[in-house]
Amino acid sequence: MSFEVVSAVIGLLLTLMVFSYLIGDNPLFRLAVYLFIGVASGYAVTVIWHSVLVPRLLDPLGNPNRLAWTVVPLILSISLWAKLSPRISRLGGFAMAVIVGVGAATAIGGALTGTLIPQVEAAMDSFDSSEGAVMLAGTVLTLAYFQFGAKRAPDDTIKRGAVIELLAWLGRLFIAVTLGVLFAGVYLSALTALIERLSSIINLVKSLLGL
Amino acid sequence: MAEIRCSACGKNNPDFLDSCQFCQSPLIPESKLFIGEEPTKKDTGELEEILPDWLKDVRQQGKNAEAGDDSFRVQTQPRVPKDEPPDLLAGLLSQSETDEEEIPDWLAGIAASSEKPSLSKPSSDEGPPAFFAGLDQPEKQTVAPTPSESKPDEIPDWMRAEEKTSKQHDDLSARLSQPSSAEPVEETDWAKTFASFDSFAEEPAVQKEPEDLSWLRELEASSKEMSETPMPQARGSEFTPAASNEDLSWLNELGGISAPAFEEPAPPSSSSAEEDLSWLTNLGGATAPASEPQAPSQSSSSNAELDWLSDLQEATNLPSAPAFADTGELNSGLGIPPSSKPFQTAPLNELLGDESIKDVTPDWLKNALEESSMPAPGSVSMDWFSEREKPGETKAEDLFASSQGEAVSSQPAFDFSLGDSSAAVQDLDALFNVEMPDWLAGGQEGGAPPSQQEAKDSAPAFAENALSPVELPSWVQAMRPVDSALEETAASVTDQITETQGPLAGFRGIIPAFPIGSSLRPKALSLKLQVTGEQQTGASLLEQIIASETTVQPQKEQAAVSSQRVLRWVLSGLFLMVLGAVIGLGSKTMPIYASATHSELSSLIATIPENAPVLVVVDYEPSFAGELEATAGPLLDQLALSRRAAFSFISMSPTGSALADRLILNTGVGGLGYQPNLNYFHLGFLPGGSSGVLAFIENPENDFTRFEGVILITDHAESGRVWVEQLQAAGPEIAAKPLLLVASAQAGPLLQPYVSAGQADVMIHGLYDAAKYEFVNNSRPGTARAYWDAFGSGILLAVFAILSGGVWGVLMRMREQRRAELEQE
Amino acid sequence: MRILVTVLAIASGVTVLAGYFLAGAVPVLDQARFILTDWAVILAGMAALIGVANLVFVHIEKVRSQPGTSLYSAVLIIALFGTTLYGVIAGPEDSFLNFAVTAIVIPVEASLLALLAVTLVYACIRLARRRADVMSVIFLVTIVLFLLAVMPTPIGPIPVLDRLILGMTGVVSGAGARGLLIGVALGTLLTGLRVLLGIDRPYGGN
Repeated sequence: MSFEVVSAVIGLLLTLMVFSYLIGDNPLFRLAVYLFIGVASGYAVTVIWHSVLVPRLLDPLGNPNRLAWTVVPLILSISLWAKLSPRISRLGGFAMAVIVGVGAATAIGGALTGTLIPQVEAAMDSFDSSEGAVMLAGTVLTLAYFQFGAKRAPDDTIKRGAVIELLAWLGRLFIAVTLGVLFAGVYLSALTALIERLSSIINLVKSLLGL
Repeated sequence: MAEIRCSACGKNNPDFLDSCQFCQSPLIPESKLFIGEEPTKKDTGELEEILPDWLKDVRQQGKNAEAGDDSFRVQTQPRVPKDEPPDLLAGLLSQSETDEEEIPDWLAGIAASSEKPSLSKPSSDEGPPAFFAGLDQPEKQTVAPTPSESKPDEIPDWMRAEEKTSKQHDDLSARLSQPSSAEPVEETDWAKTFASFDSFAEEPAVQKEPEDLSWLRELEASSKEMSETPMPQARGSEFTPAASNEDLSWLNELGGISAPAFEEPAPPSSSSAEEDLSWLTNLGGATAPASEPQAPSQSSSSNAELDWLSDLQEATNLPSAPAFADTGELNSGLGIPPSSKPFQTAPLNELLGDESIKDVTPDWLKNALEESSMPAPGSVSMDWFSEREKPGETKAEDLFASSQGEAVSSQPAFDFSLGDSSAAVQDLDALFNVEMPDWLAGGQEGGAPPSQQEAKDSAPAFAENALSPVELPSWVQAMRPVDSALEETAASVTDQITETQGPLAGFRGIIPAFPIGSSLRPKALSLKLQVTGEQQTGASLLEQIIASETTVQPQKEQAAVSSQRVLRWVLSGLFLMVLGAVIGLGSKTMPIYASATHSELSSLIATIPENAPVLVVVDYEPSFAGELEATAGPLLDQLALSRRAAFSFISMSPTGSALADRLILNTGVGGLGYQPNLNYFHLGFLPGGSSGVLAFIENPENDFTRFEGVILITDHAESGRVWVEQLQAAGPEIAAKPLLLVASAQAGPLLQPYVSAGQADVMIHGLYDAAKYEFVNNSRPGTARAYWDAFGSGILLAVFAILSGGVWGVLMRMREQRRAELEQE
Repeated sequence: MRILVTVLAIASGVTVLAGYFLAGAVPVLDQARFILTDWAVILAGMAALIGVANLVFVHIEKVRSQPGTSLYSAVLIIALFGTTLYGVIAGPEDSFLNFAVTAIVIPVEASLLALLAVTLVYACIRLARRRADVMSVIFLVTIVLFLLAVMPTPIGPIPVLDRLILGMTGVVSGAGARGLLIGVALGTLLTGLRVLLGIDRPYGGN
């Protein structure tokens, strides 16, 4: 029996164990899920070790030219383990500060130059057509829905302005359509996954049966 | 110009400034007293205006009484120097004579009676009233008829109870009276240490008002004044201010009164019940005035107080203090003058016999009217005072007393500051000490010699203090109250604690209710939250949410197999059977049509040079492997087949490399002779999200510019957005490279705007697009086509289920409405 | 120490952010930006390892505290340690490790996603029964129409419906998606700026 067949059989068994959840929660389903988490985590550790830590952290330690720039992340990496202990978790603050600071900067730079400016420009450029007008209106109305500034009414209720409320309601229509499309997309992805799983099972059975 | 260096910021300031011009800190800290420093006396005359009217009047009356006595005035002036500790009432001397206001009724009566002795003061020849005369002859006072005999109805109930208590201690009273009889013999010695009687005479007053521990504050001043104080013997005969006599009498009489506030019965008065009644004779007249003029006398001249304190030496008919009955040598070694009876500041209404006092009395004084803040008169250290007169005994104790007594004498009768309460504790500690401290023993030398400098100003007198300041422990000096402390520590008498155990049992306010030194601390901030209405609304909303979360809600009993579960089973069975059947049968009946978009994609791929490196970002989870392998298959196949592109795989998911291998295998690229590390490469895993992407793009080792195109295979919009953003932000050269998006059906709609905006060249999302592109790519690799019929069946099933479920829901709702209408009918 | 942490976060963030706008102008800045992002990648990888370690500790504690009912945790730990030990020694490109991924990870995870297909349809049915307001109706109608538009049929795409629906939904959903993207970008911008200004300190600097 080839390696692929064994892999397919195991995959078949695990797929059936997961599908058993359609009947209800059961130990087989749990066993399959826990096994999956264990193997996936172990594989992740392997990949991180070989793809990140060894080439970026350990190998440069033997290179005098890069040693100086590697000692700092090495110390920070070690200090990050302090996060596991509540008593000394503060020591990991420096490493977290680098992660968060750099992450925030890249997020800002990317969002500003990669999404905000290009998308606003695209919305303005498409204003010359009816389709573009709808796109622009939909964009504005969607953003209006997320305008949560409100005032306190005399009856002590908090309400948005009438115009904003109307725009927000129209924005909800666009959002509802968008989410409907997204939901349909999720379903199509899930359906494709279901088809793939059923195909693998049926093909395995066919191959095993010689059909 | 002289400069003063600011203690706060360290910068120099002109000496005429009161506060630092840089940090606004006071250059001369007045409210702080450090260890070893002498407190600076302030002229508090400006505080005159804030005093209650009734107190102004009393002050004025006392001043009038003093005005007639030149000698009294002479001795008053030296008290002004700033070396004196601050005294709230001291500034009253600056009050204008004409600054009198309308006197309340209850004070009018007091004033009328008090003016008489005050006016008689200037001339001692006129002699004090009868009861003052008795002060000079304490022995006679003990046998003098008391007012209680003539006016028994005026005795309050608590006084009568006190009388009984007093009688129970007749023996002790008699014993107390004996030393007083021997006092004239010891008058010379007594004169040397008369200040000690001051302290002990006022000791009960200190305990009466724990906040008024002026004896400690005046500790140094009293010893200083001793050097300039005239011989008590001479003064007693020459001056003996009437006011002092009044105080004496008042205190003397009060000594037999037990404060009603005390839980334990006050010790018996040494003067017996008859003496108690004697002061009641003057209840509405002399008693109250005698106490009120005390204030100006204190603020004006401690020497005057010393005069009457010298008379206190003779008043030995003091009550014994049971609480101090076993206080050791101090108890047995010291006598007590009659004036040691504390000031009876409460209940003034009872003393004055006027209930209306409460109505016109300021609030801050009502506590004093309602409840005495002082211990039972004579209850403190009275018995050991009685033995004080024994010659040759406990000289050090006398000096200790002398070092304290004058301070009390200089205190106003109504000093409600609590700042001295800490000193009271120290005083009591000293009293209980069997062995005198060194600093007290040292004080004996300085305090003993009498002064012969009556004509001298007080400043020189202070300069010639026998008891130098350095002989006081620094901690005592540091504890001496200052103005700021006095202002802050005024508290209600009712806040004081009555001791229930130990030798202090029965005493109120002996031990301060607050820690020593707390008066010097900054005012405590209010802990009350300042909450706005909006915040309250939010808090209430949060409270409701929490309450709803924590409220136990009964679970609805469900059948073993609910309808929902049945529905789920039906749906699951339906999907598995239909899809399984379609896949098992290998149906390929549903046609696929190409679209213009996919033709454009093929044209774009044709522009990529042959053997060009192409970066393939495998950024999806294994669960989407089936969909994205089918979706990306035609694209990779075309690139490999027509362009022979070298693929470099990188992933933001740890399983990316495994998925890449599987992608090569399942898309048919592996069948085109692609070998790892030859035709395709694994660049590894990129942790850190956008940071990892940026690091990869900008890493010179990667040489990102060498890639002729980027294929982003992603299953979620977030990772697609990160890659699009970072590639766009990396610069125009990189942004200009072809970017092909291969997205799952769920991520496609959110990534579509990037394609519309031109940030991505083209996008294939979901099996729907993949099948069409596969059709354009000569149906290679065929995965999408294999799924296509099942895909259509699954969509049809979903649409059918949703529509039927919706119709069923509408029907059920209509049915319920109709049932409800029928029930209403 | 908290101040130092905050300063480090702000300094590193500002340095990297400045590189977006001053790329190439200041070589030192480019170098510093690269170093910082490289450190961030290393630390993120280490953080992922720490996350796995925390997972191990949790399940080890579960095994110790609940010996009888922690079979699944034991399976997880064994699978994790086995895969890790083998993978660290053999490397991620080892065939057996790929076999583990192909035979275990992908089938299980794909099966879990497959379950979602049935669950989503079930959810739509419940939504249609339980809630019938305007937005729910629009939501469900959009789903049905979009599915009908992309649904393969024996006769090919449904005439007219294909282009009409896909065009409508494409425009409307595209507009909504653009609005959502801009909103997400604005939110990212705001959150990032709060971090760089030290207002938010998720790294424990509060």
